[in-house]
Amino acid sequence: MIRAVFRKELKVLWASPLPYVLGAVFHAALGVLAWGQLGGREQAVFQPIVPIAGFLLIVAAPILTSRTIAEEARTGTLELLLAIPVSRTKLVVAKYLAVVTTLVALIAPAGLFVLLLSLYGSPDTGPIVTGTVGLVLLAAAVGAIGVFASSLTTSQPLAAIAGLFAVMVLWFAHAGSDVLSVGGFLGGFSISERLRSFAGGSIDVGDLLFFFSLIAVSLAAARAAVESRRWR
Amino acid sequence: MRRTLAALAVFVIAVTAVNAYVDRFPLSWDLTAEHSASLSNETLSVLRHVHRRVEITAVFPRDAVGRVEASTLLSRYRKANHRITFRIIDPTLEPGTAQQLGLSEVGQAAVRDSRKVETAQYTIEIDLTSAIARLLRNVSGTVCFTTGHGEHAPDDADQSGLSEAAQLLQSNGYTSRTIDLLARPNVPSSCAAVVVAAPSTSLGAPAVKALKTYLDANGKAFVLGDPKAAADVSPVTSPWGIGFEKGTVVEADPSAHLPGDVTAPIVAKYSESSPPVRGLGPSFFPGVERVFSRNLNNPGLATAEVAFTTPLSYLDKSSVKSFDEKADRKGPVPIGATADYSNVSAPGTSKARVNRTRVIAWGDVDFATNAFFGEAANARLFIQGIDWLTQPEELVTAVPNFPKIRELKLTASRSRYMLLLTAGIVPALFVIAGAMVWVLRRGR
Repeated sequence: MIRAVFRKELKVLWASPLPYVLGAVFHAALGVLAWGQLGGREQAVFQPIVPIAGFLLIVAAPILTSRTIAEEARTGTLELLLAIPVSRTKLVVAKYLAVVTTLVALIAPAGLFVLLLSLYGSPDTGPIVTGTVGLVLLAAAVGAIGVFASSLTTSQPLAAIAGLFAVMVLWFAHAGSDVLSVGGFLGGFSISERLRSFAGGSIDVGDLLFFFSLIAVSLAAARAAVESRRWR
Repeated sequence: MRRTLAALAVFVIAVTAVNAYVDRFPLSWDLTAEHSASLSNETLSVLRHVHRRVEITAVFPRDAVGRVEASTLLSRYRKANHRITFRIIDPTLEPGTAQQLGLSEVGQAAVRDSRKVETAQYTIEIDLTSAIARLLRNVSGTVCFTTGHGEHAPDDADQSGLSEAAQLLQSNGYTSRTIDLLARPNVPSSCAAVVVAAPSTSLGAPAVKALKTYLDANGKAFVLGDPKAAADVSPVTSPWGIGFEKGTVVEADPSAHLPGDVTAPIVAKYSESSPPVRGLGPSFFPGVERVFSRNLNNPGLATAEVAFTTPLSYLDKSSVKSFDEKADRKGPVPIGATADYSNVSAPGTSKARVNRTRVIAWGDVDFATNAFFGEAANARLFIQGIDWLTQPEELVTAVPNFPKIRELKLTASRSRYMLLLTAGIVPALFVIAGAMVWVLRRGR
């Protein structure tokens, strides 16, 4: 069941112009911004690329995920799906996995930076590995948030805006901790702060748990939102 | 529906609780080659002693260079010990807070608990850890400067004075005072350390005796000689295995002296095993004599030479400005030394106590004078020495794990090629792929 929905979702996603447009804009912006950073530093380091790619990813993800459930709800196909005896959890997870696969495929060409850095320098492999892990986790987390946002409405633009708002709040949460002197309490919810640890070359159990928790909570909430449609 | 929402709420609470619990016990893997994503062992050792709330306030405008790095570093401190909280303030938005904490420059940080505020000159590991260490020590050490024999004075604001050094001591939580060993040859036991700054006239037996009595009773001394100073300070340091040899070091390596001045050697690398100089950046000594250590066969005494000029240098003892094999001494010339003496009184009893005497000696006073104090790492050399003398072993300076510089060999044409590839060709491939899918779909 999961596999069937996953494949169908992937097919629908890649048949739309969205991944191609987002991919083109993502890499054009990443290329310009990343080489600006690397040119200024003149060092073969992957660290500055990670937060740039991360920020572009959180902008792209809600747009990509906005249609997953909202569009099906708008066209009425979701009701058809819910009418058959299929697990809501499997349905949400399958759609989520398709979105994450697409997001990872979208950012994968950023690996070109690693090749180029290795060609003209000798970058430390540790931060490359951790930075990549961080970006994949970020894609998984913002993908889950996007799916949740999509499950709340039948309007695709509204789902994109809600998803974007949620990930922006999480991205900039640390700014509040600076101002409010709460000793990093809000910073603990900041996905950019969590990503920074990965970019710097370390993998923290707390950061891993944070991303997995974000995914689990978002998907559980999305499942609850889908379930609630039965009662409407 | 209610059951679903209730289950979701319980799940969210459980997940938050697990996250909060795990965050209290940091466990991470640093995969960088130089372990530069971790705090040094010295810092972690200091942070283990933090048992009360400590707040670090750093000053960085919103767009300041280093703000992100400072935030990353402060996050590591917080992760290592949750009693540490931090905030970064913009001095233009909160001038009152910055002023109240005595923070006048961008990059400074105030480290405070309920009783005290200590200042870190920069928001970098070595300064932050040092400030926390001073805070933990919770005593205001008094640094006493000897006077009466033509020493450089802490209240002298001229080029040859030590007023900037005294100011730095104050901003680092010390108080400074002068003690006239000519008028009253006695060093008070309240002096956490005594500075003997290149006396120009002989100290005399009473002053030397006063310093010896002080050092014998767990005293700490920062002794500065100088080729230009007529007096010999060896009598103060020789019981602790340190001697001064008159003469001026001439540095023949052009990359290791100040431009145009062969008598101002630069020491770029210090002994990593010696806490008073560990991690120091380059510092220079405008006119320096030899300082050496010797083994006194005292099992409780450890001496070490901690700074050297290059092998191309020599100690010019004949003042002819060229190497005289008979009179001069070939380099490398040691110009700084430390002595650390400890013994246990009443061992094996409940009154057992570790007694410790420490001496640090440099063959130059000029690096600490107002003329040169703010340059290179001279100020840090001074304060780190004082910290080593006055602070417990585990609370002395931390040395960050610096990442290796990994050069990116970029030329203008390579930059263009890389930009074209990543920002031009890759996006173009996405567009082409999208167009192909569109064409195929239209064809069906």
